[in-house]
Amino acid sequence: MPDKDIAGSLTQYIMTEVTTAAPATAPSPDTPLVDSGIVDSLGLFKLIAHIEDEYKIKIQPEDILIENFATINAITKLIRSKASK
Amino acid sequence: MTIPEKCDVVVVGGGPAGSMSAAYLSQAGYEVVLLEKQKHPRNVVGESLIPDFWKYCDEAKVSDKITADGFIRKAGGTVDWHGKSQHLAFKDFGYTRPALHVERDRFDHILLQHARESGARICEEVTALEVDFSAAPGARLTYRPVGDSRSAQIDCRFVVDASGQNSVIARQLGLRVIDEDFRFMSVWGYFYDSKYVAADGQIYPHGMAGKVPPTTYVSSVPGAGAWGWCWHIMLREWTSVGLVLPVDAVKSVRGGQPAWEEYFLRQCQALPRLKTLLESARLAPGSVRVIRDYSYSSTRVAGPGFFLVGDAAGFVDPIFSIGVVLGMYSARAATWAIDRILRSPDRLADHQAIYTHQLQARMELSRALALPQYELGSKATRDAKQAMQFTDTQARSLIEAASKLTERSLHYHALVEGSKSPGRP
Repeated sequence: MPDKDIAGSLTQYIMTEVTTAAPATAPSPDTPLVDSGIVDSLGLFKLIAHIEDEYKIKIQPEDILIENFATINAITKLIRSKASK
Repeated sequence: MTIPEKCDVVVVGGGPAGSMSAAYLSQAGYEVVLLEKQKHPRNVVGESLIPDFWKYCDEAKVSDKITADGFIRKAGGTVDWHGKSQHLAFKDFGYTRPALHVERDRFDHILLQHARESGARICEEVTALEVDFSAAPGARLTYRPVGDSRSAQIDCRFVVDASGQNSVIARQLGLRVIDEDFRFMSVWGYFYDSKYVAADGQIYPHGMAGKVPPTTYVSSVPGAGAWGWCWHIMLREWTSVGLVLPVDAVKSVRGGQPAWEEYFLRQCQALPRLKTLLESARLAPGSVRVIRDYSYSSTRVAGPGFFLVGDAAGFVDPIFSIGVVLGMYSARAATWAIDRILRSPDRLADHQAIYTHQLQARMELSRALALPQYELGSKATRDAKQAMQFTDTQARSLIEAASKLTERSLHYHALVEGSKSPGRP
């Protein structure tokens, strides 16, 4: 699956399932998800479950770093690196 | 209520962490039995809630029931700390939903009822005695109905220990560690007709609360070491007032309940603003309570067959009113992990490790905020920094401001330095 499809599907999921107060516009691939209030510590759990199930990957405790979840691009990169293992 | 011989998850304790765990799991389709040793409604202390609790309640679909009860909406906090007076208003941080002062008998009962209505089997007046983990995977819990001489057993995949300060599993497994740096105790009671401090800094009579919302009032206690403090939390019928003091400061108090009551009233009179608030107030007879050595942690918060949530996992000084929120967070995180594990049992270690990591980091954060002595530079500190980065900006700035209200959070400031920009290496 191309990166932009992953990013698109993640955006969709975040907009419908993760954020409690849906922002007026969808986050861009570089929008800081935590600092803009779109993803918080609870949203993080939903996101982990979603990407594990959707992309058949295993997130380890040490993967839960802000740099892996800061933006949609960062999450896409994480999924890529996990899927290639 | 008959207790079945097996279920998916047994929750021990019907406080907020237990009831929320039971509600989340039942709503996800699991068979849940919750054992509560008391009969609700029952009162406990800890009445001040910061607005962050709403998101957990939204997720459990219980927010409307809480709103409908009409709890007191507080405007913020007023803090007198060693001669300096400060005020904090939640609306200044962009919070659109209120912080509350809740009668815990009522609040906890709403959550327990909600767990029941979500499908959990709620068994009150049942004491959990011990858990046998030898039949892994899973656990066998021995319990006894109050007033019954016979015990019985229930098998499950996981026990969620939400037994509060009793910490059934942590005590049984020897996981509980008392914070030696924080040998504090607490004494508290309830007053009728206390006045209160509003957001404008003015003092109002109890009856005005409907028109002028109160603040939670906190003050340092001089002469009780550098770190003693008191709280004043106005409720609908009465007001919760308490002192947190170093154990050493109260060594001279002897003679049980009457001595504690006398000591408590004397201390309340010794604090100028508190004295003013209480000048026409009456202490509710028999309402004074004492807890000693109440700051502790657990070396583990999850293991094969169990999760510890809420105060059963650890308890830090309650100065920033985050206990209930932390309890609800742990309930959400533990039930998330349980759901993941029951779907993919081979991921047990990973998902328990994620829970452990995230919860302990958050507890570390509250320790850094509240504890007078606190070691920086450990692995726990690094984990706490990571956890802080996943906290949204609103909550982060509230924590930041709260940390400046007292002189307690010097360690916290060291801890968050450099943890604000995402993408930091």
